[in-house]
Amino acid sequence: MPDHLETNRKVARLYKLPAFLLATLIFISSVRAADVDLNLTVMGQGYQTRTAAGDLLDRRRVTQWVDLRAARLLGVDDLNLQISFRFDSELGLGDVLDDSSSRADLLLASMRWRVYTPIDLVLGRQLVIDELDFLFFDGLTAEIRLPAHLTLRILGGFAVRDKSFMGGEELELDGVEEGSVPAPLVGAGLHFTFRDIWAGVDYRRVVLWEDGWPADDERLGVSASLRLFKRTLGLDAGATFNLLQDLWQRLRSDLFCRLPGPLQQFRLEAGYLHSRPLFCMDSIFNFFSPAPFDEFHGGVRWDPSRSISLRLAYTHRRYQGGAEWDVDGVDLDSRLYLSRGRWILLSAGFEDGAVGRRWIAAPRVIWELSDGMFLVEGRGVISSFDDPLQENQHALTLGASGALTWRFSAEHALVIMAELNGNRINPLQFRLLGVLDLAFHFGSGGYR
Amino acid sequence: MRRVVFTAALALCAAAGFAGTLTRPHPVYPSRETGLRFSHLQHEDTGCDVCHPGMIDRTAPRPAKIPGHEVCSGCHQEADAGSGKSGECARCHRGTPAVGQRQAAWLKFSHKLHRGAPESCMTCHLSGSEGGPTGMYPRAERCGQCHASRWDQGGCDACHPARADGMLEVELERGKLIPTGGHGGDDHRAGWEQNHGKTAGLRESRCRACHTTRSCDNCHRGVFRRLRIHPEDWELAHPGAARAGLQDCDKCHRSQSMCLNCHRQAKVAESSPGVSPNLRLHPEGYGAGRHSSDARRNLRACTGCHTEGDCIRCHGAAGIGQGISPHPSGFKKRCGLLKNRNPRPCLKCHQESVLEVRCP
Repeated sequence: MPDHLETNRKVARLYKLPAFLLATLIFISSVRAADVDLNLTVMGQGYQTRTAAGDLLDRRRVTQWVDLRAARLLGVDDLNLQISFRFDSELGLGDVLDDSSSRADLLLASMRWRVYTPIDLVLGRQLVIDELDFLFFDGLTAEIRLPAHLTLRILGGFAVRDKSFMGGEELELDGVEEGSVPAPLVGAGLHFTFRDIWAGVDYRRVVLWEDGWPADDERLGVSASLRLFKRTLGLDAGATFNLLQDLWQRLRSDLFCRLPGPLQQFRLEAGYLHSRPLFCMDSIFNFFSPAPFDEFHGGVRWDPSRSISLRLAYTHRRYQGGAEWDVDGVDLDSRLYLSRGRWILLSAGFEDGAVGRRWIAAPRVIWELSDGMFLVEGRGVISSFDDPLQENQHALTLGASGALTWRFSAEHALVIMAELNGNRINPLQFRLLGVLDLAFHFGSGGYR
Repeated sequence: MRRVVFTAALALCAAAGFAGTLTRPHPVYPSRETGLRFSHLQHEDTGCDVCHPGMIDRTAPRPAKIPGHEVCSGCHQEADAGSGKSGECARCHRGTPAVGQRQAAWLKFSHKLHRGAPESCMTCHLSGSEGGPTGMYPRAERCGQCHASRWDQGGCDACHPARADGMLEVELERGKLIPTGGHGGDDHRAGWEQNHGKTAGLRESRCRACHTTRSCDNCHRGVFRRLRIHPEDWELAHPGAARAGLQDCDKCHRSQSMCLNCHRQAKVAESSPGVSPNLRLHPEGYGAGRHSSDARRNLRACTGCHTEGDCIRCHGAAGIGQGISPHPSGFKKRCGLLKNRNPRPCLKCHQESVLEVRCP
């Protein structure tokens, strides 16, 4: 057995005792918690379409979530718990799948404790979001509020990957074949918040549990966000430097401005993004020559009243490698509020460039009935795509989908959605989705 | 084309005109409709307590009572309901029934705690703002002017009712509590799905006031296709979109799990069991020519079907692969830096002894 897999197993064994102790603690403390919210969701979905080879892709999948949130554990103020499990079962892919598969993922399991007013501790499987990325890890985060509007965040633990204990296959790293070894990490962040000014510096280092502790990721990011002149002018900017490869990985800046006087219904947006695709250091893809790109985007949003919002945006992405690689995109997003629970939405988009042309227009209606007991949603779509790299891959698609939500009690709901599409290549595609959502609340309730 | 643009512009103007007639209730504050003609600005010299007696002693928001005839007639004799003069009613009443009592605001607030100097009613309730979006109800920015420290710490639950775990109640009787750009919560209206990542990193604590981490999971680790993100014909159209890259697939998907699993099963991946030569997505001769250009442009799109092993077969050094170097020009200057930081990927393509010589 390869060394790293053996190491993996050792770490998995290490997890078992803390996991058992944590589960016991959770059980005992949840019983004594002031408020417990339990959410059970079951989603079944199936769709039928044909592959390029003409095989019927008849996919069926059942996913279940169990979410638990408990507040004031053991009666301690500001000691809260959040756990989220997901059980996912692939039940088949018709005549192209030879086996079915299931997996259980622990998405989150963390306890947050405000020890004193200026100190927050979070222990367990958690998500951290900063300028660098979003990251799931098992470990401890401490947030300490300092004078001068500063907050210091320190974190340490193991990055959650697909091979981690109840990890999550969507966290598998691209280009790291059979190489998912335990990855200890440390990180820190110093953030400044004053009124409408935010700024921060974030650092993270991930190494591999291997001889010599080879580095896997090390980045430094700075970011700032300002809202000025009664929030009519806004600036968001950030930069990430990859310390392992000595390269700027991402530079971004965005500006928005709400026009003055009678034109205050209009908000103008403009932005720039420079990005260089980099992989974790364990991947061979860093040794190829992926091209960086520059993106220029802009848009205008129109909010004539609280009932309507419409945004038109344009994006131009320029790759450093040749104009023939460029892509342009236009997006329209609009929302019209009619009355409580009743909306009309329209989205449309157009994309053209190196890899063909696509456009889409999709109106959508949401209609609440019987004082919220039922929610009906309908969506129509017309879209077209033309993919020059693949033979015979161009089509105009017409489709419609409808959904009914039945809230059969204040905290329980059933959703049924059906979708039907057709085009030259696939005259009939069908999708059915059902969701049963059950929420339970135990405890004193009320507000604080 | 002109006709289409003209029709679209016309439809837009009609929709805006129609939307102007719609009133979306404010989720926090009750409707300001009283059925009366009244200007606070014109009554600025009258003490607030004259019309709203006892308000200043309240410790929690309660339905506000609209002053009746007996209060108005204290100054305006014609307002005495018993006077019976014709035409006098219309001076105050607009023909619709007057609202006797308003609902309470959905806030935690004690007037009593705020009655000390230097505060007065006018510190928060500006009569000049009567025609504004929230009328004389104070906007949160005004609260933040005095309560800056709570504001900076994202202490939304200082004013908004929160559950025991500190999460705000957002599904309110008058509608959903959705930020529109005020008091630091960024504007969640049209375009928010595309833009939220720009501020989430710096304001995570503020996001946590209303969202659990599951809210992020629903999309970023989701298991079902959201039609607002991926439209109906996505199974067919996604290859072009993935290669174009505008949607940045890797924000939510890792190619080697999400894409590869399905592509293997659909027999379109290099490593699919029993893949037929007729199923190849790439044109004849693609491996020898255009593939390097496409890989340089968007390598992540390649990883949807290919793993390292596929690349190493050709790009691995002699003895491991066919010795076709994928390294960009000038790589030799950087190879030592990369190898020192993590030699593991180098050893996938190069034998250790050779590597020591070529990249000391």
